[in-house]
Order: sequence, then C-alpha cells, then structure tokens
Amino acid sequence: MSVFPLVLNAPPLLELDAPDERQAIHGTIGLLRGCADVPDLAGLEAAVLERQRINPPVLGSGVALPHARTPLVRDLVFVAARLGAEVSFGDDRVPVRLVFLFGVPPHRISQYLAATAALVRRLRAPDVIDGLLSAATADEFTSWLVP
Amino acid sequence: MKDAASSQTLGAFTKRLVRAKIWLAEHFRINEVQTTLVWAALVGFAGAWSSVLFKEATEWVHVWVTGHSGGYVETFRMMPWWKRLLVPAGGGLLAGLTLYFGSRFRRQDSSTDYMEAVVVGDGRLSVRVSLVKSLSSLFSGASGGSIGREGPLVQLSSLVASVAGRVMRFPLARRRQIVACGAAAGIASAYHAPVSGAFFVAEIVLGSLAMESFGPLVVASVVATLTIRAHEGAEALYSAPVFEMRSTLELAPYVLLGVFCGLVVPLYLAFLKGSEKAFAMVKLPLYLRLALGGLVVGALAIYRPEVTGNGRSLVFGILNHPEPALALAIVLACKLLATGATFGSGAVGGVFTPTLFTGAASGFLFGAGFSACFPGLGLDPAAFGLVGMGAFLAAATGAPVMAIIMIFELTLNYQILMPVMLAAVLSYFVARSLSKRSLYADALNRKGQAAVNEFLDTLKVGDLMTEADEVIESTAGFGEVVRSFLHSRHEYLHVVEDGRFLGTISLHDIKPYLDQPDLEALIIAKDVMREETCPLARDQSMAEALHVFGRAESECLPVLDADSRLLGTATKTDVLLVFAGKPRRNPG
Repeated sequence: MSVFPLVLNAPPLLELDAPDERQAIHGTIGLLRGCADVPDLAGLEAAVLERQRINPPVLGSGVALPHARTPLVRDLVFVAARLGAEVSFGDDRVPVRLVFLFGVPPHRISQYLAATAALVRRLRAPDVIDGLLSAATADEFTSWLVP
Repeated sequence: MKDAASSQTLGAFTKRLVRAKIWLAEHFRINEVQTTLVWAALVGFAGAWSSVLFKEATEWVHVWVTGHSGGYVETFRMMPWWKRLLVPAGGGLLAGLTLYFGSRFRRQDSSTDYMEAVVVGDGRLSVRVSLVKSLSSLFSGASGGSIGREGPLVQLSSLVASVAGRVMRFPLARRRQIVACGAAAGIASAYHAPVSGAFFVAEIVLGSLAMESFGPLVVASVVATLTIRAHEGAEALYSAPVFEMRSTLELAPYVLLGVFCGLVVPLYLAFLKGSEKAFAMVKLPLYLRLALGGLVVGALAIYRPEVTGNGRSLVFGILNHPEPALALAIVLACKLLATGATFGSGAVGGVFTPTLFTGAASGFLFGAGFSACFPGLGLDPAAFGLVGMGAFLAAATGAPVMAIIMIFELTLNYQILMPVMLAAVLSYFVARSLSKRSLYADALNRKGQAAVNEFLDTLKVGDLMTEADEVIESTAGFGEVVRSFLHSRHEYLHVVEDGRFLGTISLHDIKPYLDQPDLEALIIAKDVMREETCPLARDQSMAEALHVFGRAESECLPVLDADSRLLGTATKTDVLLVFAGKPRRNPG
C-alpha cells in the first residue's frame, strides 16, 4: 500500500550540491523539467521562494518541505532531493539535508494536505530519516518513503 | 519559524482529546439559525412574562378604579349608574393624558407600533413610547373600555425582543425577526394559542410562511404559551360544549354562514373606520377625545354593562349559556357602539377580541334565524356562534389560516374544524370580493406600509452586513487556523492580507488534519484557502446578493469594497429573511 496519495514526479536527486537555500530549491525544482504538469518552471520556483520568504516550512531533523500553491502547475507535483551537505533554511538558519518539494494547484487543497500529512507521518517513523540519508540509490531512497 | 520536533512528544491521549474536541465543535457548533431559535425561545419566555405582568397590572388598576375584583361585566353590574358612567370616562381621560404627556417629547426616528417595527422599521422599538402606549392601554382596558388587550401584550413582548436585539447587536434582518418573534409571543400569550401566534405574525405582519422566518416564530409562540399556561392554567380560553356533526348535509348552513359573514365583515370594518373619522371630526385634545369615548361606553354600560371589557365573557356566554336572540342582538348593537367609541376615540389596544365577539354573536343570530326557519333540523345556534367567530375573524383579518387555527386553539374543539374551515375560506373570499380592506391592512397602511416595500427594496448588502469575526491573517500558522475553527460558529474562515480579502478556508478541507500538530510548522492559512469565493459588494441589492449566494458554497460570504478590503460578512439566512419579511402589498 502506498504511503502517499501521490508519487514522486521524478526520481529523487541524491547528493545535490547547493550552497544555500535558494540553490537547494532551484536544484530540486529542476527535477520537474519536462514535466507536463509544470509548464512554467521559473514561475513555480518564484512562487516557492515567495512562500519561503513568509515562513519556510521546516519539519526539523534536517527536513524541509518547500511548496507553493500556484496556478502555474496543472496538478499536484512532488519531488525530493538529498543535499550533499547541510544547508541553512530561513532566518532561523535551520540545518536541512532532505528537501521534499510540492507544487500545488489552487484547487488541490485536500490532496495537498493529505500528501503532506502522510509524508510527515512517514518521516516520523523510526529510522526513516536515517534510511533516507544513507540510501545509496534512488530506488532505495524511494523505498524508504514507500515501504 | 517553528521547529516541530517538540510536537513528537504529543501523546496518544492528547491526540484523542483534540479529536474529541474537534468532534464536539463540529457536531455541537451553534450556527446562525440555531442561535436565532434560542433567542426566539428566550423572547417567548420573556414576552410571556411581560404579558403576565401587564395582565396583573390591569387587574390591579381595575380593582383600584372600580372597587371590585372579577370580570368586567360582573363588576359593572355591581356599580351604581353614575359610577358606570364615570369610570370608563375617567379611564379614557387617564389613558389620553398618558398619551398626551408621554408623546410630547416623542422622538420621531423610532417606530411605536409593533407592526410598524416588524415590517417597516429596523426592529428598533422606542422603549419610552412603547411603555407610554402600554400604560395608556392599561388605563383604557382596566376602566372598562371596549378594546382588546392583544395590542399592548404584543407591544410589550415586541419591546422586550427589540431591546434584546439591540443589546445583542443583532444585524438588521435578525433584529426584525426577533421583534416578529416578540409579536408572536404576545399573541400566543394573550390567547394561549401557540400556532395562531406564529401564523398571526407570519400571515398578517410578514405575509410569508418561509421556514427561515416561520420557524423562530413557532418556537417563540410555543415557549410563550407554555410559560403562560404554567401561570394561568392549560384549559381552553373559550371552552365550549363538544360540537357534533351528525350529517354531511349539516355543512350546508355553514356554507351560508360563511357567505353571510363575508357580506357583514366589510360593513363592520367600515363601521370601525367611520367611528375613527367621526371622532377625528371632534376638535378636542386627545385626552378629552378618549374621555369622550369612555363616556359613550359608560353611558351604554348604564343600560347594558355587557359592553364593557374586551368581550371575552360575552363570547363564553354565547358558546355555553346563550341569551335569547333578541337580547343578544341588543347586546351586539350596544357592544359595537362601545367598540366604535373606544377604538374610534384613539384608545390604544386591539380589536381582536371584540371582533371575535361580533363574529360569535353574528353567527349565533344567523343560526337562531336558520333554526327558526328549519326547526326540524335540530341545529344548535351556539355551534353557529363558534363557526361564525372563525368566519368573521378570517374575513376581518384577511388571514383565514390563522383564523381557522385560532378557533381550534381557543376552543380545543376538533369537531368544529371542518365547518370553520369551510366558512372561513368562503367568508374570506366573499369579503375580499366586496372590499380589499382588512383590519390590519388599514393599520399597516396607516403606519406607512407603503414605505415598507420601498424600504426593503432599497436595502443593500451593507445594511445587513455584520462585523467579520471569523477572520485570519494569511500568514497564520495551521495551529491558529485550527484554534479559530474550534472557537467559531461558522464552517469558513476568511483569510486577509493587509486588510485585503484573499479567500476562505473551509473546515471541510482541513478537518481530517486538525489533530496533526506537525502541520503547524509547515502550513499557513494561505496554503489551504480557496480563492474562488464569491464575494459580495456593499452596494449590491438583495436580489443580486441572493444570486451570488446561489453560486456560492458558503452560507456566509465576505463583503468587500472596491479595493477588495474585507468590510464584513453577510449570511444567506439574513438575505432570505428580508424576502420573507416583505409584507404583502395591501391595497390602500
């Protein structure tokens, strides 16, 4: 049974080299290049950064869930990346290694909430974050999310 | 920014507690309609007690001015002729002086009549003027004036409701509705008639049986009746012998009675109107005019003491131990003159009970005549009195449904219902074909009903709008959203940013996740709001507002200005209440 009501739109990116929050997000969003549901990648990135400016969604334990509700995506999109090194997110400089990014069309509130809640529950499970951090391949990474 | 790691410690018990609180908040949240029903019940209770106090005060003044306790007719029978003459005249003088001095400093910006308050105004009754009118009515009634008591009872009950509406700062539509509930409670208290109380206001005053307005009226009426019954007893106000219909053919004379009443009612209404005109021609100050009206009643009481009071004991007599037809005809003539004198002189009160008597007496006399022509049929003239009461009331008030129910509630006699229904409807249509005037249409016209529809037509959304209390900033965290819903009566929160409206959050969308504290750090109000809300504009008409509500999912919509700033909210119920409270257009 799938943990998520959705699947990753692209294989997760492991060891993303990003010097800062902005580059981390840029690199993660890059996974959506060519995705039919994201006709305006730059617009989505701008929307996510705008949302980060208000209140960066950081879960703790090195996990960030940047997202944006924007009509620039046609359907809910979801990608994940693991940073090569810790990057500070937000004014509070919270260290982050795992980035799970959502693009949410305005009418997909329920699905977005369901996906976020499911992801958070999964990440709270024992050893999942350690497993994600130590996964050697994209498939292994994905299997920690969808056991 | 919050680190949600700490929320990991949230135990299973706490989660269950949050779930329980959410369940309770969702299932026991009191919405606008339920709030109105609760207030209707409170108004019914308070209105009934105001009626009890008024009745007690009237009895006390009655004993004070006559020196006797008991019914009006019995009291006046025991009094010497000069006292029969002077007591109603003195009472009229006191009633007139009360009005005269009480209205000298009357403010012109608030209505003073319960009908006016419900249908024209904004549900604000002047406390001082209402009390002055009630006090004046108390003097008129207690001294034997031939006038009904439903006027002051409705006035006081409506006043209580109006004060409650103002203190609680109800929006315009709800304030008007609560005053209508007060009026219904007043009628129900006066006649121990819960259904009629609701129908009286719905049919005569509001001209609508829409559930949005009728439901609260029913609640107020029932609570008022239960309260008054606990104080005065539950027996029928006009108990009558059980009526039995032995054959369907017996309905035929009642059909004729219905036609007869329909022919007589326009004359009755014309007589009341004429008495008003006659007194208006007498160029006297108000207090002397009322004293003159009382003097006429007193003079008639020397000959027939039955003319005093509202006529309740006379109705009871017709139904249970009627006088001979000739004697009743004389009493009817004298009573009509007394009612015309009291009503025409400008006494505050009502003519509901005098109308019941006129109908009962007319019906009885018709029945007596019919029985004399067809003695073999074995018809009971008292039963004609009962049916005549309903038929007369239906045509006089222009409210046949209310009249039918009222007769049943007054007598608690089910068998009479079918003849009353038939006669009431016939009487109503016959009277309407002759004259469009009705007892209360005249009152409403006089109180400016022409302005009623005009007023309601000009109402804008801004007039109904209330301050938006379910508002949340776009950057508020998910926890704050949850807390707002737990404390809110609505299923929607309005999201604003720098005062500008952005959208609404639906409880339905976030309900499954209300007990997930981790989301606090991840989600803000803006993330879960819906932008496609249909907002209202302040200057939109009621018809336009209803159209917007037809497209919207929410029962409560934001009202925005040209810059999308949130001015307040308006509910669909309030808009519907304006339509439900729009009275029939009575011909002038």
